[in-house]
Amino acid sequence: MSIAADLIRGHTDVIILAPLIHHDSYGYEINKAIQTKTHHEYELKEATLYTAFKRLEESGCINSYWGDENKGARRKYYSITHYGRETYIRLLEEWKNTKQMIDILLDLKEEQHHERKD
Amino acid sequence: MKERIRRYIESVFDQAPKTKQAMELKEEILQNILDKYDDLIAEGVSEEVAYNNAIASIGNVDELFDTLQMQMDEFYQYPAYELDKRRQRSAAIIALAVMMYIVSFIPVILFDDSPIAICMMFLIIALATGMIIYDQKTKIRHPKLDMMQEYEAWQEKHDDTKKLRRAITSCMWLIITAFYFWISFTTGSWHITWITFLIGSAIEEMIKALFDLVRRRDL
Repeated sequence: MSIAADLIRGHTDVIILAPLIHHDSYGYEINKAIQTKTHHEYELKEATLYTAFKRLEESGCINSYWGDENKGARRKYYSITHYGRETYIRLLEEWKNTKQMIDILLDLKEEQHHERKD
Repeated sequence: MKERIRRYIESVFDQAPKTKQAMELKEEILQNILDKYDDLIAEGVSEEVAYNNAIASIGNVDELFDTLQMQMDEFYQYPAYELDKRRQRSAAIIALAVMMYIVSFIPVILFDDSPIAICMMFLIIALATGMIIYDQKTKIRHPKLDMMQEYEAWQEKHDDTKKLRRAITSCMWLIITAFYFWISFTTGSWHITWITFLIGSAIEEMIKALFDLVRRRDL
């Protein structure tokens, strides 16, 4: 499957917000969920992931806190804010509209139909 | 192999600004990479391949470090004259407060230890202290310095010996204060007993020096 990585990159923020809607999570878990969902076709680089975390935190979409695991690893968890939920809904709506529009623009059938009529 | 991953992440973060945020980020990314490595090993991948895959998933950190740098640089966006004005105001407040500390003894000297004079002294001291606190709280904070301090404070928190030192010094100050009131009320020599606090400061410095000495020997 060939994918346009650039196209996906533009939606990193909403891709990260989506799993946080259900429960708080940490970087690796989010990235792993992305891999599993896409059957290993896509994964975020650490740098991309954390640049997005910083951006989302600064804009008030998410909060972070250190978890207190008893054994060894200390993980930073992210939780979505009310504003984050609103942003997610808005971005999802935008994506649906854009997708629909691109589908229409790239679909040749209708135009051929028009040409025949002329 | 995990040590190799740790070393690699350390070397990547050599380029990052030395702030608490960067240190936390390093810990976060290191943990993720280790998780990924463990998962790959569990899938039956060889150590070498797992290492390379895990490291490759870091990607380009330049943009990330730029964001950290930008947070540090924000301070310099304040116009210079604004900073100057604030600095002058702060200097005036501190000078006035110090003057009030010195002047606070005058009523006691003039009215010879009457309760009203002592009350006035404490009132002046309280006012001066209030002014210093106000000045500290309204300061434009220097993020670069701040972050360094924050980072040091954060490191300190993870340092058990410093925790012990803080416990000892705060305990000492309580005892010193209790001692000050006890000796002052029993002897009535308020004009000299404040020296207890100077002795307290000296003891605190001594404790600090002692801890430093022990730590240096450990290193």
